[in-house]
Amino acid sequence: MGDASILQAVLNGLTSSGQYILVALGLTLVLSIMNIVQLAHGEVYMIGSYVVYYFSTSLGLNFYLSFIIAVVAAGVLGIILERYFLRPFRARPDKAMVLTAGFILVFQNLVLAIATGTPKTYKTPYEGAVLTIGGSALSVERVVIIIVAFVLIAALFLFIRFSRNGQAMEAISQEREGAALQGISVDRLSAIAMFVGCALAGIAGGLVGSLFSLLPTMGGTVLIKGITIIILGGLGSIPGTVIGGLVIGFLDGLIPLFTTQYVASLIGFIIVILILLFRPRGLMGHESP
Amino acid sequence: MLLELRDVSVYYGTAMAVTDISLKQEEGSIVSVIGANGAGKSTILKSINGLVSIHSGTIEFDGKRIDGSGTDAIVKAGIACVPESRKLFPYMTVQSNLRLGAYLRKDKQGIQEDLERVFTLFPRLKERLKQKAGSLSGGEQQMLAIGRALMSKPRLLMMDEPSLGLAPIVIDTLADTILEINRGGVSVLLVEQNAGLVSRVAQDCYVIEVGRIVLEGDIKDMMSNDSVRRAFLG
Repeated sequence: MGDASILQAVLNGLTSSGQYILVALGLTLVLSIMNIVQLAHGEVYMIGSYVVYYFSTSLGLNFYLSFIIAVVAAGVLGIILERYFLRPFRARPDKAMVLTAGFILVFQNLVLAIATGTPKTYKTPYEGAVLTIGGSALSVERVVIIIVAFVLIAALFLFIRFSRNGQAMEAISQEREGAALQGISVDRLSAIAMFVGCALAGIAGGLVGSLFSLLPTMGGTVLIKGITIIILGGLGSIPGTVIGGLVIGFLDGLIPLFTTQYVASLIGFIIVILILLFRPRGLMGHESP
Repeated sequence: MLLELRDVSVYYGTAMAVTDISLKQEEGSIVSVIGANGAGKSTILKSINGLVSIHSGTIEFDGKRIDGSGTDAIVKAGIACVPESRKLFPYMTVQSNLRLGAYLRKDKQGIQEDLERVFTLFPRLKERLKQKAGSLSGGEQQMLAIGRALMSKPRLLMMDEPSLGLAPIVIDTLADTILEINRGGVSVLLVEQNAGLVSRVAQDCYVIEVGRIVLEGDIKDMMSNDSVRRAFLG
């Protein structure tokens, strides 16, 4: 295997990782603050892609503007879900989670009704552009995804570590009642978590949508990857999510070099199961609460 | 009156947790609620905190109704709590725990002053500043829980069984700490099973049994009355 194909594989690994981590970080945020796995998270990602498609292709708007609209729309959708659907079930996270499962069907069918089941595609202004590094050609589209993803991951780290709201989120994830007793409003921070989490999913969907064709069911795979990542990383841990995302992303990028796509995803999950056998709380999970 | 509960009842589901609780506390005093496990002591504090909603009755703080308000508004009004089992943020440092105690405050200088005050009260916390809260000893965790509560600059400090799990000698120090906090102008509402600790710090005392107040008065009179002591104070 030549250097060029290794570089290509690393690039693919980073692209997948970046995309998965953006989605999984939203799941992690919502899980730590609201105690639920937001099962319709993949659909928020899907809606992000479709909004970009709709504004840039159907309405002919500038791609960047369409992208921003998609991100804001995804974030606002998150706030609406939290405020009107999840908040009433604050004391019963199990019910809230079943509700998010219902929203998978609602969103998929809504998009199906509006956009039909025909696969859609859209183009970025930099489609087909190539960056040549050390003799190998790298797709600018992938490089953009990698840069945006890792800049956002760094920004989220800084937000959690240094901002007042970020510290409040950390506090809630470690000790809910203790946090409430300091005057931290779980309602307010749940809304912020849903906004940030869904906006990140929207960003991932908007960026990645140009690489594939869009289908109303495209959120499913992403959700499975996201759930695998947060379990692998140690539930609720942000550094764990990033590491878990890199593991899954690179398995996705590297294994297909040696075998077929189908065997690759099988091997990926077997490796995850092996890791969890030895570290049942995940890579970065706390030993005991 | 700083705090006044009138006929407060709380249900958990269909089960009555506390019934017709009436309680008064003057500014600057130390009042205590004493009773066995499961008598409803914590429920009273949680109803004041807004963590459980009350079924009937009223709760007034500084003359204003606070029942029905959110916990954040109640903390902002000046009520802080050292909860049962402390509820610290275990994977955060001592420093971050203390900073979060001042979550609702904006006055940087005042926060710094109160931080110094906490360090004067508990010099040990200053030595442990960068350590994770979960790695502290039981006594140190109790100091941190009290310090964190004081960081909100409360007028009323509520403490839920602070003596639980502490060695007798640490309980003695705890009594001194409570008295010192009170001398600083903070009223203290102390919920306890340990009558020894209560008699060292409090005067007004309410005895609670299966959700009802069965006796109220001066703790020293109660302690000197043999039949009362045997019946209620262990």
